[in-house]
Parts: sequence; structure tokens; C-alpha cells
Amino acid sequence: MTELIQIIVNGMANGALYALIALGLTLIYGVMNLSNFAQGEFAMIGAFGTYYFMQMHMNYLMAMILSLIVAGLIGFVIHILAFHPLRKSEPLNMMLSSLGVSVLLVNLSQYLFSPNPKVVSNSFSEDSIQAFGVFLSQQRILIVIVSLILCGFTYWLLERSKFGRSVRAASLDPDTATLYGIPTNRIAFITFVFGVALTGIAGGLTAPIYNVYPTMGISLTLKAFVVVVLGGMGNIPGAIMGGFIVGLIESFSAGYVSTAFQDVIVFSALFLVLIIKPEGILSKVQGEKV
Amino acid sequence: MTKTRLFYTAITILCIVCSIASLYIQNLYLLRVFILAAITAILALSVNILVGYTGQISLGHAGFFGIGAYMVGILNVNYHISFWLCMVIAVLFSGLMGLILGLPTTKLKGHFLGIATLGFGVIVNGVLNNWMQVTGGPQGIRDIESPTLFTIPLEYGNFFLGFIVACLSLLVLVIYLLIKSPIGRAWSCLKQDEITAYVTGIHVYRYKLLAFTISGSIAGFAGSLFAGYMTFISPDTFDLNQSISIITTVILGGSGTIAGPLLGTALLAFLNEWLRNFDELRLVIYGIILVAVIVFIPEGIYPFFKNKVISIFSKRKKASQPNTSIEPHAGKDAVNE
Repeated sequence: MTELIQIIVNGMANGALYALIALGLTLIYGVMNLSNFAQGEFAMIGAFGTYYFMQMHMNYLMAMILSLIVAGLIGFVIHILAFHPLRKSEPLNMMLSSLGVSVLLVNLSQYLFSPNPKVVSNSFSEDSIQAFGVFLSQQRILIVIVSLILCGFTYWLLERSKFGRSVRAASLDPDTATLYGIPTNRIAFITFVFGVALTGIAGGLTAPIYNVYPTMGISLTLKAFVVVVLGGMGNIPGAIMGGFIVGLIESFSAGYVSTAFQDVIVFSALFLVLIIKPEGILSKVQGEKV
Repeated sequence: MTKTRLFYTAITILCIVCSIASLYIQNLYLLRVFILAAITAILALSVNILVGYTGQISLGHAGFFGIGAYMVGILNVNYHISFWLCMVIAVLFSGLMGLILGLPTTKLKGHFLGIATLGFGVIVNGVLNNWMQVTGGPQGIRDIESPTLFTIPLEYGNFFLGFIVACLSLLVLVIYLLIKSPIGRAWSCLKQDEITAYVTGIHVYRYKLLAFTISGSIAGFAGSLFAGYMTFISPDTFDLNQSISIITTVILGGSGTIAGPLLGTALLAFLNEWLRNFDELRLVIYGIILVAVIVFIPEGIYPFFKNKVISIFSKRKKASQPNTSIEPHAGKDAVNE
């Protein structure tokens, strides 16, 4: 019984993290129609940023904030160079461009920081809480809390604020939105930087649990894509739910089947969902425009 | 007709000359580069059937490549079946896998299709890495038999290169005929607009399944050639990076053309070898070049230069004629809104 609860709790903690990364991914997809394969690399940047700022004797919170700014700035530059020129081009080209960015960022960080894993330790990662025989490190609790707060904030931003209205308009129909005076290009910029910064925070949050290394982003990108497809593209509550589902599937397969087949099981679940309900679990069915 | 016939004769002669010339290459390093490039070219052609002619995406083609290679490896090493029979089984089996992948995924479009095929690649790689009893896990399979063709031992690089260039040429011919056949026309129709194709009476679902099956079996063929050449296979060759580099080759060269993927393969093979001078920065520069080419030449290198050449010649001929062509994007937008 305790084993089951432990598995569920761990799955939820990982799920919250995936939800946060998927949130950035789904925002960017909604506005720019871009499947950003470099998304996980920004988590890597966030994690490395946190590591190096903490090496400079800053506290964890400060390091995270600075590294999220760094991730946002790098995202800004990449958007100008790699995505903005392609905004009128086919989605496939944008996707390939993001693959190129991913190759570039992974190998650049391998060159700059060496492939060896680095360990970040903060006060949260050492202490753990024990309740009903279940162990839970404070860092995991922090991840869940921060992720939920950020998801809630993003949801509020999109649904209630003026900025959010223009983002939604731009994602529904960019041309009409432009006619109504919404600066769609600028919205795309802001959304990309915002989405990437969210992922940067996620990277900073994982750093104390998993080690920091240049290729850490790739598996995160894959997980985030599964989350986004499960929840429906461009759907925030869906992304959160999808995150928890993926986290749970993963921890259950690690607990009861084997850790080696974790990815296989997660992607098989994705296939199952795609066969049964290709629009995602939470999304409403939309007809196709002729 | 004489002009086109001359063109085809020239290409046929070129292929034969290439096959024969490959027997005289002395440099082992060069041989290896050429053989691997030829295998990549076959893979690129197979992805091109999906991406270029049918308008689908495949981000998991390394899966088919791996299935082909492992079919040969497993059957040959564990069950001592001769290489050629293994190859036939591998091609059929990866075609079957293409069909099975196609069953659910042909209903998907765009990004969803991309992610689903990517998932296929990840699943295959995961199985190859972890199903120890059959695939040998990360250690892979060793000592695959080198094929012998009509008493010619293909374990020598020269003979293998000659053989593979001949295979490549034949494959190009087959794909060319396929594209010109009613099947190819149906594909190009459903690439333009699925609903129109459906209304026209084309069974969209079946034609997409056919494209997946053919593409899968060609990739499996490339895999079996790879297994025969390397005689050693391990899961690292068939990972996500491989899938990505295959589709990149196609898009960079120019999808939807036959020369495009071949040109893309040649350029990327050359680039990869040249970048070895930069050691650790190799993949960084590769990434930069990739992004730069997509940003500046999104339609692909071959169509870009072809249009350049055509426009240079047509300017001289039709300098006096007014330009009546409509920019494609303008018309497309007007129809959509």
C-alpha cells in the first residue's frame, strides 16, 4: 500500500514538471504553430544557469530567477534568428529549424560545459518529509507547488488579461487579429520568450533532483510532446492533466514493469490515445475546414 | 522525345559508370564514406515518398531502418538463414511494420503525425535497447555474414559500393516509375488537398497506407544493406538523431523531387566529413548550417538552384514578355479565407 502511494506521489511530482514544460510548448504551438523540438534545451539552459549562478554563491531562488532571465534572453535571440524569418513558411520548416536549434544548443553546451553531469544541491533537496511511510523530498513538493502556481498564473493571464485576449486572438486567426490591430508578430515574440522562460524554470527546478548535463533536455522534450498530445494542442488544463497522466504512467511502469521500458510504455500510451481520440483527451471536437 | 531519351540514356550511362568506377577506388576511408552515403541516400528516398510525394511527416524512420538491420542480424546470426533470404524477409517485415504504423497514424495530420511517428522511433529504439534475449541490448549483434553475390564476395568495399550504387540506381528508377504511375498521381493529389482527393474518388486512406508500407520497406532495405556492410549493429545507430538527420537530408536537398534527396545526401555527407576538422564544434556548426539553410532556402537546395538556372535562361528568352505569374501565396490566402 505504501509502495503504491509512494509511486503515485513520485509520479505526481514528475507530472507537475512535465506539465510546466508542456505549458510552454503548448503556448508556443498555439500562437506560432510551431512544434518546438528545442523546448527541452531551454530546461537544460535553466538547469545549467542555476548551477553556475549557485557556484557564484547565490541562493537557490536568486539563481533560478537569473537563469530564467538567461533562458528568456537566449530564447529571444533564437526567435529572431531561427523562427521569426520563417513565420510565413510551412510548419514543417519551422519544426526542422527547431531541430537545428536543438542540435546547436546541446552541442554548444557540451563544448562549453563538458558532458559530465553536474550536481546542484540546495537546502530543499536534502530534507525529506515522511508521512504515512511515504518519503517525499522537499524539492519535489516545491516542484509541485511552483508548477501549479505558474500554470494557474498562465491560465489567468490567458483567460482574464488583455494581453491574454490578444494572444488567444492571434492563435485563433493571425490574419484577422492583425486586421483588428493586434500586433501578432510582437505577440509571437512575447509568447515564445514567455514559454521558453517557463521551461527554464522547470529546468532550474529539476536540477537538484536529477543531475545537470547537456543532453538532459531531449527526453524532457519528448515527454512534453506526449503531454501536449494527450491534453490536446494549445489547451492549458489539458496540459496540466496530461502532465500528471504521463508522470503517473511513468512511475507506475518504473514501479511495476521496468525502468528500461518506461519510454516505450509512455509512447505506447500515446499511440493508444491517438488511435482512440486523436484530438487529445480534454479537447473539444472540431470539424475540418474545407 | 529525342531530348528526354538522350537525358535518360545519359543518366543510365552515368549510373553504370559510377558502379564500375567504384571498383577502382583505392582509398578505404573514401569507400566507407561513399557506402554510408549511398545507404543514407536510400533512406532519404524512402522518407521522400512520405514527405515529398504524399505530404506526410516521418520523424521515426530510424525505426524502419533499425527493424530492417535487426531482422537480418537476428535471422542470420541466431538462425543461420542466408543473407539474401534475410534481406527479403527484412524488407517484407519492415513494410508490414510500415502498414501497422500507418493504420492508426494515417488518420493524423501535421504535428500529431510528426509526434506519433517520433513515438514509433522511440519505441523501436527502446525495444532494441532493452529486449536483451533477442536483440542483444546495447551490445548489439556481431558477426553478421557478409553477403556474396554470384560468387563475388561483397565483404570487399569496392564490390559492395558497386552493388549498392546499382541498387540505388534501380531504386531511383522504380520510384520514378511509381511517381509517374496513377499511384504517384493519386499521392500528389492527396498531398495538395485531401478532401479534394477524397471527392475525386481517390481512396485517401489506402493510398496513404501504401505510401507508409513502401517507405517502410525501402528503409528496411537500407537497414539490411547496412547490416550486411557493417556486420555489426547496435541500437545507437537507429536513434532519434538518425531519424532527424534523414528527414533533414530530404528537406535540405528539396523534398518532392528525386534529385533533391540525392543532392542533400551528397552535400551532408561531404559537410560531415569536412566538419571533422573542427572536432568538438562539429555538431555546433552543423546545427548553425542547418538553421541557416532552412531560414534562407526553405524550399530546399535543389529546387532553389533549379529555379535560379531556369530564371536565368528564361530572362534571356522572354525578356520582352510581361510577367504574368501570380505569387503563389497571394492566391492561396485568398482561397483559404
